[in-house]
Amino acid sequence: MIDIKKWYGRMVTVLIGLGLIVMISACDKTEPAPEPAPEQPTTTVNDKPPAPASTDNPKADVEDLIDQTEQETLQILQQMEAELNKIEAEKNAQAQKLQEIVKPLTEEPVEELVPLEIELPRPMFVGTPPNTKIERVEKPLGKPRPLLEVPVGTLNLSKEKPVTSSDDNPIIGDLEQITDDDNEGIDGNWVELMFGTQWVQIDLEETCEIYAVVFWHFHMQPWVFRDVVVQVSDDPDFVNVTTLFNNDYDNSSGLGAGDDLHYVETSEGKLVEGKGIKARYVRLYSNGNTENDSNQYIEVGVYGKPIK
Amino acid sequence: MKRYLFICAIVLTVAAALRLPQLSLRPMHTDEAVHAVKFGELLEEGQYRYDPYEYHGPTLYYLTLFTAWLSGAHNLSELTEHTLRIITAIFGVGTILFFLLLADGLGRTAAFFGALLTAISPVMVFYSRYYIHETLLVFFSFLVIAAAWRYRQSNSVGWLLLAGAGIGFIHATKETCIIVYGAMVASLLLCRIGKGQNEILRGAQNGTSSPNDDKVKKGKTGSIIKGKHLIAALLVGMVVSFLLYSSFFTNLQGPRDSLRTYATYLGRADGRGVHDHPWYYYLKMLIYTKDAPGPWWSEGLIMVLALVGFMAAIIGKGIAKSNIRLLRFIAFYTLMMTAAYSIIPYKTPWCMLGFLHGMIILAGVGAVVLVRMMPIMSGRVIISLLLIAGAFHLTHQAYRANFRFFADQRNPYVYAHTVSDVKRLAGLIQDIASAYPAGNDLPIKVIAEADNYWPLPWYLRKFPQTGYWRQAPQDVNEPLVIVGPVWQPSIEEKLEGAYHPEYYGLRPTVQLKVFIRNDLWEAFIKQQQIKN
Repeated sequence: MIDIKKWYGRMVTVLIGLGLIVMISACDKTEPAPEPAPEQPTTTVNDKPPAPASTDNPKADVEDLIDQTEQETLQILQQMEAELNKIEAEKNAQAQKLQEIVKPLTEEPVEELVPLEIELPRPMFVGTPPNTKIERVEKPLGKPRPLLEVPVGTLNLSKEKPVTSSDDNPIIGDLEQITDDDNEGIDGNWVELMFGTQWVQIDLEETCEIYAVVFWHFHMQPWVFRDVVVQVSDDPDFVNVTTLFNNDYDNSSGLGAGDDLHYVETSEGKLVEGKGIKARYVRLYSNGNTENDSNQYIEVGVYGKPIK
Repeated sequence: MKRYLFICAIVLTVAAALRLPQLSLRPMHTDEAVHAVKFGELLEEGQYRYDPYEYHGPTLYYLTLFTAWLSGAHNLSELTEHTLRIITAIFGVGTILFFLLLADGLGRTAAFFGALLTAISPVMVFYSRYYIHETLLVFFSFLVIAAAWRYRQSNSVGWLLLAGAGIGFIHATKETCIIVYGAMVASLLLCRIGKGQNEILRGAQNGTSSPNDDKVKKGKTGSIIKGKHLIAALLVGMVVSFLLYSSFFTNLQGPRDSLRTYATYLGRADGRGVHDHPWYYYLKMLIYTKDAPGPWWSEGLIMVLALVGFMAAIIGKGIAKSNIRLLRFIAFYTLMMTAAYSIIPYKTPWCMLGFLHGMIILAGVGAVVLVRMMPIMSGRVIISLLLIAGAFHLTHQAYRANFRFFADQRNPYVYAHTVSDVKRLAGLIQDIASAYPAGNDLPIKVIAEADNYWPLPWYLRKFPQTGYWRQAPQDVNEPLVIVGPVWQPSIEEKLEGAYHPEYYGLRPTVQLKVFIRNDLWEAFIKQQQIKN
């Protein structure tokens, strides 16, 4: 005859065990392998627990059954835990073995480091280099500068306007040549100022909207002029200024550091956008060039419209 | 005498005022930088080997040891332009002192004018401030002439030994010493022949005969220099030359190389080099130069006065207290030197110092002759005023050449010269290095033809991790790369996008492109922004 109470107890035990297995398998596997649990008496689920002695008290029988079921469940759980620990330990042992095999392949041996000394090629001594005189050579841009779009009625406001300078007595030329509307790069067509940071200033004679300042330094050769700064102001002493262009990245001219790029002089001149800024005076600075310390100007054109 | 010495002191002061200040102003010429780096090897390693193919003799390097020691420099990176150029500047001033030794032979006034013109001549001043051999060559040549003259006057062997030492120093300075020797010997012979002819003529005119007639006919009028003194002087010269060329007995091949070198230099003189110019190159430069819009330059005053002095020396009239034999010697010497340097196709402007100095000595005499030629006082005053005005103009030119147009091609004495932009490049690299973690150990690659990277080895002397490639290497990944014109397109292809480019001039029409790795450039800009 089938003992239903016993089978019921065993089913409960199995279900609880399965639930615990699921819980244990979800635990963090990175924890160090626990020490193997002490050997427990092995029992299996299929082992039949010893039949309880029959008694004549039914309540006591149920309590005994529950106790027995609990003990059996506990034993089964302990067995399962032991098995799981054993499996975990084996797994860790295998992983460690694998690591010991792989580790020498991936890790570099620890050695003392010293600076790597490379013998660099020394300069080769030479005689006096050739003396190249400047000839008239223009370095082309490669393509024309894109046209700047400006409002209708824009004109050259600086034409024949008065020019002043930090150097009142240029070594070559006269300051009025800078606004004579002649930008040809020919002998005698430029004004040369002293070395160091020098400026030229154009008085437009009234406040205007400025859309572009186009200027030519010495462009018969592909020179690069240093510390080129273009500023506008309504004040002839340039106390309050707006800077339109500044490539003096190290502030060697003391007008503030700028991040505009150096450029090679060409016959197209340098165009600096004004974006309609309102000003009466335009000032251009420079500080020598790649060929000499002097400051040369051929022409400055200020394009815009008077404010009516 | 005291007044004369006082006037000489003023002349020396003017000479020093034009030569000594701001010696670092002008950027280093390629030749100066090469000599500087070679001197650096002597300073650091204590060794010098004469190179018979280039770079001239050892005197410049050994003399610079004194200024280097005084300045406390122990290696190339501790040297400055001032430490190097002060040597040639001092010798340039020192050349003027020899006029004191020749004052009795030239006449005091002529010696004073000669000294003054030496002090203010734009060419003499300009190359006195150059770290090259020319000023030393002029100094030692003039030393020989002055010391030999003093020996003639005093018969004191010490003077002749000094002249002998001068001959040795000339040989140890530059290979063009053979032109100097040749001109001196030829002039002496011409003077002797001339003297003999004069005495024959005088004898014929007077119709007298004397026990000395035979000797006179044979041109033998008695030795001025005692044979044993001459031999001693030449021996001193040989010892001086041997000591220097052998690097004080550490390179016994050196003295032999100092003779072998003439094969190289004779080959250079045959008219197939980049520095070949027509025979009138030097004379045209001295008479008048005006290149492009800008100031004009001329030492025409010296040349005109030199011509007057030359004619006076040959004719033998109007020379007042000057010794005719000394004058004729200097006249022939100057003529020989001018002819030799004009004939040789290889010409660089500093080579004219030798014959120009002879012209200056003659010009001093010529100034006196011109003034004395005027029969009336007003004429003498006018000539004197014109000479003073001319002297002021020469002084103004000397100032302009050295302190305004010192690296400008419109200065005719600026030849194949580095532009000032190179100093800005050096400044940029120093600033970049301060933003680099290892500082001056910043790795720098210079890729350019050998002609197109000097004088960078001088300006980058404080950066030990700098290498110089004449051809583009495979790897150009250094934080900072400097590229000459030929290699710019190919290097630009490799570095575009990862590097920030900047342009810097090296010499006229020679531009370098400097590539700075973007991260380093940004660190530098940030540093500049903080500073400002």
